[in-house]
Amino acid sequence: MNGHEQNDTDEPRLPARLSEDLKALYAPPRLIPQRVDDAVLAQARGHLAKVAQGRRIVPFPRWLAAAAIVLATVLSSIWLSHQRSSEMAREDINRDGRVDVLDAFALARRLQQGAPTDPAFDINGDGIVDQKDINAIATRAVKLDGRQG
Amino acid sequence: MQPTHDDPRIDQDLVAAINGGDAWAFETLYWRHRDWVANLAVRFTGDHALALDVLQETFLYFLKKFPGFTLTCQLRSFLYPAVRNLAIAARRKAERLQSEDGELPELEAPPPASTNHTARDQLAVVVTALPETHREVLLLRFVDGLSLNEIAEALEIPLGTVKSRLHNALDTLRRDPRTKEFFGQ
Repeated sequence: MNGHEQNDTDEPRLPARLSEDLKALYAPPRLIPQRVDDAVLAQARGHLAKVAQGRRIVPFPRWLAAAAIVLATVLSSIWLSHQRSSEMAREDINRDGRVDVLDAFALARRLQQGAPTDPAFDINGDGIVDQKDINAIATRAVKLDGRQG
Repeated sequence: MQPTHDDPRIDQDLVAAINGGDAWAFETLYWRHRDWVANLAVRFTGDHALALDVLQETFLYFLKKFPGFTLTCQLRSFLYPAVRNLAIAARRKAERLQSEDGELPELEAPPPASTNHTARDQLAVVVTALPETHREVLLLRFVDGLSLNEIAEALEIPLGTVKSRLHNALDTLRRDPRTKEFFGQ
């Protein structure tokens, strides 16, 4: 075996003349028209100019946009919930999460029993917790029922 | 116009630059690999005009990978299957359009042999007679200069298979009376 054919790393080698002849047969210099080069490179310049332009506009990360939407949704939900609860809390005497005629009964019972009343139960804002507040709750409950119906 | 100087950056670095829109980096890769792609395309199509089409299509296929392309192997290993597939498609398209009396050359057509039967002509005959898989590995290694690992990546075959095919191809050349003189026998 010729010493050029095989080396110690199991990488076969060719005799120099054989290698040269193979290259001459299968990889001769090719005449490539300039129009071919121009066509490829013109498209490359056009495409890559757009790529470069796209990179100059700092993109808003999608994950940040998604996080902002989620945060806004959560905050608005909390705010609405708070608004609703603060609006309803004064009339929701029995704290069952809704204002209905039972709240009016609950306040009436407290007044009848002479139990201390929370100033927050001053529904009509006249400074006194009395029958007028019971009426205000009942009126509100009826209005709510009407809205739902 | 072909650049008069070569960019010292390796292919992977140039690919990274192209992802940023660097057209010069693309041009550098084009000039670096253009002739290899053209020769490969000629081998697959057997037709110079078809090969020029394949050359263009190969680099446009490569261009469309950007931005967002990561080169995980040698560029020639990446380009090889593209050239082969585009060449086969070009041949099929040409064959459909070809008239009955105009046959296209065989895949990886042999270079035209002269009538005086020089050693080089005999070599062309023997190489052409090799099984296609053996010839492919032989040419990729000794004409295109790909390493055995790069060939394995390009052909998506195990390294051992590359070695085996190359060994068989060389063994044929070594034993054939028309080419054994290359080996000093």
